[in-house]
Amino acid sequence: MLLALLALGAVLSLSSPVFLTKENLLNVTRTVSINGVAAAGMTLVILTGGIDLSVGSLFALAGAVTTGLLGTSYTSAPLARLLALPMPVAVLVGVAVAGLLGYVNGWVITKFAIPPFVATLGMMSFARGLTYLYTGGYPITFNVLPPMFAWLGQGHILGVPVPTVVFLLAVLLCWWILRFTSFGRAIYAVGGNAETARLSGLNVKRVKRLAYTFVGALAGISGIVLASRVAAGSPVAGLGYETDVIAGVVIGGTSLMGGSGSILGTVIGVFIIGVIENGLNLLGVSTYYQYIVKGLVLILAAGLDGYIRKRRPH
Amino acid sequence: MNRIVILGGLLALWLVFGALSPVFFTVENMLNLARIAGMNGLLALGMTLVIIAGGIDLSVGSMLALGGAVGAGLLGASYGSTPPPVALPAWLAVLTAVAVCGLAGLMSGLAIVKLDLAPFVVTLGMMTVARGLTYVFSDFIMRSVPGTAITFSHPQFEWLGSGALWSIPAPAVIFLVTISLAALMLRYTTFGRNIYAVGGNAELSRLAGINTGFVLAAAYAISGALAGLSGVVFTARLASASPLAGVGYELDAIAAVVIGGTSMTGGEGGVWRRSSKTSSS
Repeated sequence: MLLALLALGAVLSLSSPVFLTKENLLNVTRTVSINGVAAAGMTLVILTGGIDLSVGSLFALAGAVTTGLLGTSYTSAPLARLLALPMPVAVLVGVAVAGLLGYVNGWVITKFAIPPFVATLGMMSFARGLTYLYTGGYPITFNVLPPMFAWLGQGHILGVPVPTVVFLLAVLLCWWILRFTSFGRAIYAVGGNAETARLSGLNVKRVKRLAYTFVGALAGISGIVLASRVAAGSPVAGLGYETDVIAGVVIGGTSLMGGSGSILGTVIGVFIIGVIENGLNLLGVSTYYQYIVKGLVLILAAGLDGYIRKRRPH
Repeated sequence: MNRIVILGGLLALWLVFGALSPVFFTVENMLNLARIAGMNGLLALGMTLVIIAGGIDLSVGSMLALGGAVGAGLLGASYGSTPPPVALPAWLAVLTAVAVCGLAGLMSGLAIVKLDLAPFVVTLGMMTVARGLTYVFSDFIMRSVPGTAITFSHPQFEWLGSGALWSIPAPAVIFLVTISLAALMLRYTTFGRNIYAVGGNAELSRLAGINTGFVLAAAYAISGALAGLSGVVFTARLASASPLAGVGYELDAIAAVVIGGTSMTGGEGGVWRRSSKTSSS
């Protein structure tokens, strides 16, 4: 997959003089970061053999809740005007709400043995509905954008955009979990064979519930970062987000069957999608043809990866 | 057993809605339900075949839009596009729409089989490609503001969506005919049995002499064609083909299949079970 990404990068640096500039690469990284945070969490869920379709709705809900709780937000929705909290608390509440609904996902899936696809599709509708209720159907904007909140999406740390720092931290956290914690090893075991994992004494249900809570919270964090970036909590934010997030994970080589894959693959996967989109914009391809080319390049990138893997001697 | 539970669930849903709303059990509402279930059902039917064969098709929502746009665009009866670039009789327009989507589905299938790629990634790519093709084609027909819907007037074509046969809505008739054919095919033809075999264990099926590549590619082609047909019916119902039609429908279709008891890992399931969920929406 890394080779496919490098090939894409090489083609683009030859065909556009702007691609390799520092500004553009930072821009790609910032765009990718928003999807990447949730994709990192999604990797854990897919590794357990599950899937979470509700990330887009949790993303919107957390963004809306946090913006609504900030005292300076502008909205006519009664629910969003109830409370005014200091910024760190508002962010925490937003993340907690998304994490809680993620936990509900995990609970429903493990308690009633419902396929994750169906349970999280239900949550996708449910959380979207909550977001509409909370926002009254209109984006929550700001009278005054609190500088501390604006920093989350628009600020820099040592020249690196804050969303990218958040993405980096999420990736490091997931890498550490998967590599060095018993929870991480249990995730691989559960995804490889849930029955064997259970018989070996692992608490399979707990592992799954934790994974769904974790992806919910990460989706919430990325939703809040986006809300800060665009200075609004929109009820329609993150529509179709789940597809991009899952695509990043799968292109990164994580098997939808569970048990095999890595967080590093996911990073490459989301970058492949980001670089394709950025490249098409740089080359001035019209929006409609962008759809066609993006789809074809996606298949091509996956094809290149499969071809290389087949030829490599084992 | 499983089937009884699902049917029971559907029955319970009906009773609850019937008790809560005085309108639910009226003839009009039942016919309306049949019409909607018919349109969604076509999409889920193709998905059932693909999932039984062990795959997944994320492109059906875009195929629905593509089928609708091609069908409506080729009629040459759209408003604001004079003279129309093409004008075909309704039956030929419908046939072309279904064929185009079937061909796109075949492409997905061939990429999956020949290049040994993950169905999720390939059909995700096709989802984007088909959406782009829809936009490009709509622009070619309308030549006006980019991204506008193809709005048209053509009674013969519109019958497919809003007409009725012996007072049964046309979409429901189309769906019933298609699902019956699919059920017969799955049960009684070699191809149908092979779909189960490939989904159950592709390697064993190959060793048993089944042309697994052909079976898979055909399943995706059928799914594409049915999504195209569903798009034609949608478009006929609305007398308008929006390039944004069917966004997110793939998730509904997959959910309908999974709620109907078809295993996501392939090899089991049936077409009748699935029709119960679609009619409860």
